[in-house]
This record gives sequence, C-alpha cells and structure tokens, in this order.
Amino acid sequence: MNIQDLQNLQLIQIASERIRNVERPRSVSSVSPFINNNSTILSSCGVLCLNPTQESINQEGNTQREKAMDVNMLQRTYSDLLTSLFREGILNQQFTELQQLQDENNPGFVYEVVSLFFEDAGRLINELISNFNQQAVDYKKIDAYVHQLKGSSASIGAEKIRSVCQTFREYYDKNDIQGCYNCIQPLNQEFVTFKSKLEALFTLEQQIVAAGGSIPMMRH
Amino acid sequence: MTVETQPQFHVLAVDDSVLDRKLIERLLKTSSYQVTTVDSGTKALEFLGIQDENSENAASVSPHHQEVEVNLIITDYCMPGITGYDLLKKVKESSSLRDIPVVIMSSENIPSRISRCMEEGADEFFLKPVQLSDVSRLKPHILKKSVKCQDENQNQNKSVTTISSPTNNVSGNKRKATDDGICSERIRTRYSAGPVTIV
Repeated sequence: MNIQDLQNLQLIQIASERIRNVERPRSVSSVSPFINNNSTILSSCGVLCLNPTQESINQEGNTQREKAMDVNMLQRTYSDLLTSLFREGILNQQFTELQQLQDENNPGFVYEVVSLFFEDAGRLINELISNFNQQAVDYKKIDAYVHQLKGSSASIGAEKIRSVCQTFREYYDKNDIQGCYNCIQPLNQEFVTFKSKLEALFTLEQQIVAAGGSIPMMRH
Repeated sequence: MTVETQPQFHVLAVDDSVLDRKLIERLLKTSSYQVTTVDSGTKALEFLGIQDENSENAASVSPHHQEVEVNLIITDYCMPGITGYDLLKKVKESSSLRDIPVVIMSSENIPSRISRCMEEGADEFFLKPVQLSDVSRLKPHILKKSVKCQDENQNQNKSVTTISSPTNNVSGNKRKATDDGICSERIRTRYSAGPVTIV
C-alpha cells in the first residue's frame, strides 16, 4: 500500500466516525434553510427562509452542514480514487462500460460482477501458484488457467491483470519457461492491489449512500 | 408499470464463464431482450430441443418442440465439451433451428477462426469483452429472419458481416494465427449453481 492509499483509508475512517457522531435531525423539512455565521447558505432545494430562533438554526445548520461536507469529502475521495485507478492503468474503458450498465434497477451490478471476479481470479491464481510448485509442471494446464484469467480480467476492465496475462501467454507461445515463471508473482501482486483498491472504492460508495449522497459519475 | 407495445425477443446466451454470463445477460436485458443463459453447448442444445449424441446425460431423444421461441443464439467460442463452433454447426444442421441467427463471441482475434464461423453460417463474430455497441447490432439479424422473405436467393439479402473490435484492445494479439478449432484445454471447476437461468 502506498501513501495515497493510507491517506484515503484514513479519510474514510475519519469520515465514517464523523457520520456516526452526527445527530440525526428530528424533523425533515423540504424547505428548511441552514445558515451559518459565515453566511454560507445550504438548502436542500435552494430556497431561503427564516426560522424563529437563531440558536436552533445554528445548531441544526452545523449538524446538517457537517453532514453535507462529509458527503462532499467522501465523494471527492471517491472521484480521486477512481480517477487514479484509470490514470495508473489499473482500470480501463471496460470498467466504465460496466458502470453504464448499472442503474436504479440494477444498483449492485458492478459490485456483483467485481465480486465474481475476486472469487474467480483468486481461485485461478491459487491454482497457478500451486501448479508451478509441482515437481512436474503442467504448462498446458497453466496456460489454460491464464487464458481464463485473461478473459475474466478483460471482461471487467482489470487492465494490468489482463496485460500480465497477455505477457505470460506470449512467453508461453515462445516456450520461454522462465518468462512464464516471472509473470506469476506480478500477476499475484496486481491482483492483490486490484482487490484492495476496488474494495476501498466500494466501501466509499457504501458510505456515500449511507450519508445520503449520490455516487459521482466519471466523465470521459 | 409500462406496457410493452412490442414483443420482446428472446436470446439464448451460452458461456461457461459465470462472469461473462452475468455480463452478457445484463447487456441483453439493458437492450430489452428476454434472456436465457446456459453454461454449456450441451445444455444449449437441450434447451433448443436437439439431443447431443456426445452428451453425458445420454437419455432417449426428446421429441418435444422447444416451448420457448428463441430469436437469437449468442455463444462463446471456447468452451469445454462442445465448442461454440460445434453448437453453431448443430444449429445450422437442424431443419427447425437453422434460421435462428447465431453470433459467436471470442476473446481471441484469430482470422481463420472468424472465417470458419462465418462460413458455417454465423451472423456475427464479436470480440470479447462484448459491449453495448455490439449488442445494438443484433436486432437487424433477428428482424431479417423473422420477416418472411419472398426472395428465394438468400444471398442477396445477407447483410455485410463485420467484425467488432473493442476499443480497449490496445496491443494486437500476436498469437499464432493458425487455429484448427481446438481451444486450449479448458479446466474449469463448475461451481455455478444452476445450469439454466431463465429470466
């Protein structure tokens, strides 16, 4: 894990603690305004009106404002993480295709598909590693596993994993055993990285939704 | 609840990968198709009402008509057991099913494989990962077959077959171009719950 990951995780922790400590507003009015001392106006539908007691406004305002700021922060962290995943080449355009298939009727589609991949890829990589540790290595079998892994990773947009699989198969075609062998550790590492980043992404999604926010859409 | 003014077309999707099945199902349903997914060519043939002589469950030939009409078959090429190519052949050999359009999907861009499939009667060949833009190309094939063609000569009405290429397939696949139809040995533990999912 790098510094950025750690910072992201810390942000998530801070954010979730703040959300837990925030008091739920007792009544929800669709037109209530929240004005703080710095004249920042926050309203759920952009309408300004006045409440009787300034004090109760401030208290409610601070609570709601804090909550809104937490959601904003979570959303920013989410967007930053997602952008970095594309920029670093961990995800490719296919992942965006998956996101576009997700809608209010299928809210968990990306999560379901990626979870299937975690299972599938995890199993395949374990098979690869154990097969490589055999006395007599069955390279044809290993190539078949890598073929499957390449297909799955391509299907969900896990670009780096797909790329290592492709490199492996090129070595296999040239009967370059050492080349094949050298791909296994990177493959495992890429999978571990992919899994932890996507899990962080999904955790952020859950927290954003729990805090009443919406998941930011990426623009390409 | 909206009322469907147009009848839904029914697609049979065949793929041994549970992940790819989920994906193709979502792609098709998003495009308003009714979808049945199966995890093997053998099960596809069972569903279609053709008995596969190589099937493990060698029961007596079932004479029943398929109860649900299938408007299009989309199948993965590389599968354990009978391949997508074998499935294509069997469908085209069947008098009752040969008019159903068949689309082949493959993760490998092998020209000889593609031409073999097209020669055998496939209507399209999609490179994986299949995208919404690919699925949008299915409708003409379904409509073409469902219209009673007066013209005896079917070749005149055959649309130009094109091969789609996903935009994220950056580096070309430099694997050997030879393909005698044998996929790399598939060793896949079948852990999918049910064989047939009708949705």
